[in-house]
Amino acid sequence: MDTPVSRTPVRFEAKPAKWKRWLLRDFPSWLLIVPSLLLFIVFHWQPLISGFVLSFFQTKGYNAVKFIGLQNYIDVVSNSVFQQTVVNTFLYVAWSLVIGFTVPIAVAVMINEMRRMQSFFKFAVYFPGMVPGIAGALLWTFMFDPGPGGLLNMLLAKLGLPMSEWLQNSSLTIPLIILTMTWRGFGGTAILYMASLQGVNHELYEAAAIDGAGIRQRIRHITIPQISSIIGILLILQIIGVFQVLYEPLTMTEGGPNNASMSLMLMSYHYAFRYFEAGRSLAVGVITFVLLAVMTALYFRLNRKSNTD
Amino acid sequence: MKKRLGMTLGAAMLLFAATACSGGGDTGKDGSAGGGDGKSQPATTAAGAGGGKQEIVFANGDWPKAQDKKLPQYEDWKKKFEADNPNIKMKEENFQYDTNTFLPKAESGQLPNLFGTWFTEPKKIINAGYAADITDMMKRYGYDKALNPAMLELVRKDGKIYGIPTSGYYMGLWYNVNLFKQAGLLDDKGIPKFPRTYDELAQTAKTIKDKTGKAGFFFPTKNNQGGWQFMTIAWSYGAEFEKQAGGKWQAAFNSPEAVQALQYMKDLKWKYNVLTDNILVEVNDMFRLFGTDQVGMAFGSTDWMNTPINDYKMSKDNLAMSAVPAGPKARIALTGGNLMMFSNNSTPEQIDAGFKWLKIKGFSPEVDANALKGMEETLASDKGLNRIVGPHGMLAWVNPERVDAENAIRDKYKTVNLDLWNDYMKNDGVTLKPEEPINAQELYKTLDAVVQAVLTDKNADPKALLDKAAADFQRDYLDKAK
Repeated sequence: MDTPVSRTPVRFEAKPAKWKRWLLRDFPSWLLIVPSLLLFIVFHWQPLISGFVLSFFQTKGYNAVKFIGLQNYIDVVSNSVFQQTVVNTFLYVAWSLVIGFTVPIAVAVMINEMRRMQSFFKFAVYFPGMVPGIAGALLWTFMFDPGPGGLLNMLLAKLGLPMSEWLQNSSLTIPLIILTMTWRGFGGTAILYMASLQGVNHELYEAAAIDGAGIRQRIRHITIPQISSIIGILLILQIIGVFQVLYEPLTMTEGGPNNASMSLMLMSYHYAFRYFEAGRSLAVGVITFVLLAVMTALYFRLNRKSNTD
Repeated sequence: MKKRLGMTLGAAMLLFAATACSGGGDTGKDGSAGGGDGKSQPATTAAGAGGGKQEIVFANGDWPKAQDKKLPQYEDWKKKFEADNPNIKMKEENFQYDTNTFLPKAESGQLPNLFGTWFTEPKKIINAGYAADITDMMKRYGYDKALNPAMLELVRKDGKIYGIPTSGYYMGLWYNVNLFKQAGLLDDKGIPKFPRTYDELAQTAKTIKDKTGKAGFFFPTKNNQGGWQFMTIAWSYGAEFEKQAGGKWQAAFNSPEAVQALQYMKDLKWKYNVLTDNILVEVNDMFRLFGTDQVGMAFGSTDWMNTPINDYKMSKDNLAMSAVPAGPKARIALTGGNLMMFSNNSTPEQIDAGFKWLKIKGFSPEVDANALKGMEETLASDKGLNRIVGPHGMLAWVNPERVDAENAIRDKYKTVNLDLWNDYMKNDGVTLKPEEPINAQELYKTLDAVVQAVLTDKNADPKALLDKAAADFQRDYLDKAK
């Protein structure tokens, strides 16, 4: 440590001054970010980190009582429903990719190609997103009512088809919940895709048309590659969003039947608000966070690899 | 260079956040150690400093909604309360216990001094430290001797009392008189023919379904209510849930008796087909269906009796009640009830104010006309609103003079034909049983899933389901019980 100092005393003295100067030079900018920084610290990072810390404690209400290391995690993971819950959560994600991922892309491309009524359709696809979440979920619960009085069952009966148990059929529960989430959420995503489609250079299409490319080829070779970066980002956002699915199963099925729709966040919710076990609830939250972080990192890694190849 | 700068900045922020957090942690510890001193509301400090005539603010959570017709009654009580206690200012709040909001409210010190809840909750509220120890006041006002000892037991921990049981219930059966009439199931006096066994219950339900097309019986399966109501049936079939052997707790609900009880549930759906089409329901759905003549029978108690009348404009004469039916082995009804608690940041003065308030409302062991006035006013106003008055569940007070006085008042204001209710109130031959002692709510949740499974899957195997549920519950909870 001493040597560099003795060798270049001048630089050492200059260093703090430079640092100070640098800070002073950007002082107005620092001032500008202070509010958002405070906001982040108070409302995002502080709860995040104290939540993380609390998950290692035995809790009484939200107060830490005793450090118990990984005991909360052991209790949570060894709970008999946990395994099924993790599988369910991945099933939610998988179904959301099957049902919900391509819908907004297709809709965005379609609306983008329209000559008339574009704004009406933009509004129409976004409309379900304006319905409050819980209200939307309850609305669907009424439609899925399994008796002959249920709306969808009445439709089926009119068409001469057998009635369905809908949400009560444990193999349909998750896909149906995803369907309602897609109904509510795809409009917002489609708007983002549309915005990105507006940015695609029209000359590319013209050139392709001159070369004799049909609509399918144009979509495959121009549209998709041009918006691939936003597709990637929305894919991640969708996975993160669906992974934390909470109020749809909470209001529609409460995790049933027989835990067929229990999700990690619902489990965390039950721990916190039904059994008042904040420590375990936060442990589930941290586990969810870690799973998501790993998946996201993995995605970026694969993505970079495929880009360099 | 830029990247490194970002990292240093990030690290600095992390550090900052960590320190902020440890600060938060400290206050947390103080809070728990000091019995919530740090969380007192300004009102408390004003009172705490006080000697003599300083004003005390008493936050009263026992207050009806703004649109409730009982409100004028409460306003009168409030006037009387403030006239009697000029140094106490009452701040009223319509507090409705809700598992979803209780924790944040309690943690942020937003609970009113006096609040109501029900019997499944006190254990976890006491364990979380959100309820004040009121042993001294209970003794001073003589509540500890006059209240039903079985109910008092539920709010006691380590010899200290944390709550005031206000009413108790035991499970009975509700009958929708309209549907029974349509199905030809009334006797010549117009009283429903009560099923005496669970087999008769299934038959009666089937008759209703066949004759009226409506569901014969309602059974909830969500929000832990499926497990909760399954208890009453399973116990009567001879099932046990938690057994203590050699100092250890054992999950015993995979016995042949429990399997038989679950098979009965399954038959209700697949053999008799008497349940509601939607299986994922809870008691609030029952009020709706029952109140609109969509369901013939349901488990219920007297403390819910006015809900379908209030919320769904059902006629007060459309409800009849009997004791629970008998199973092959026994005839058991689950008991529970409501209680009042004080928030942990209440001062002794505020707790005292709470007791004075309850006394004005007529909830005290005393029998002089003044003490009973509140109860009389309640019943008179219920009568005025065309609600059910007369029937009662388990009484909170056990001193005979109070019991007689209460009965006399109830008789004076009764609005319904008590023949529709006598079977329930006599409750002959029924054994009352409180909830299971260890992790009752988690047990209910486990059983919710089992009940859902047999009601949604025709091929579900009750034995296998209960084996798994018992093993899971043993490992998840009973092995960890102290």
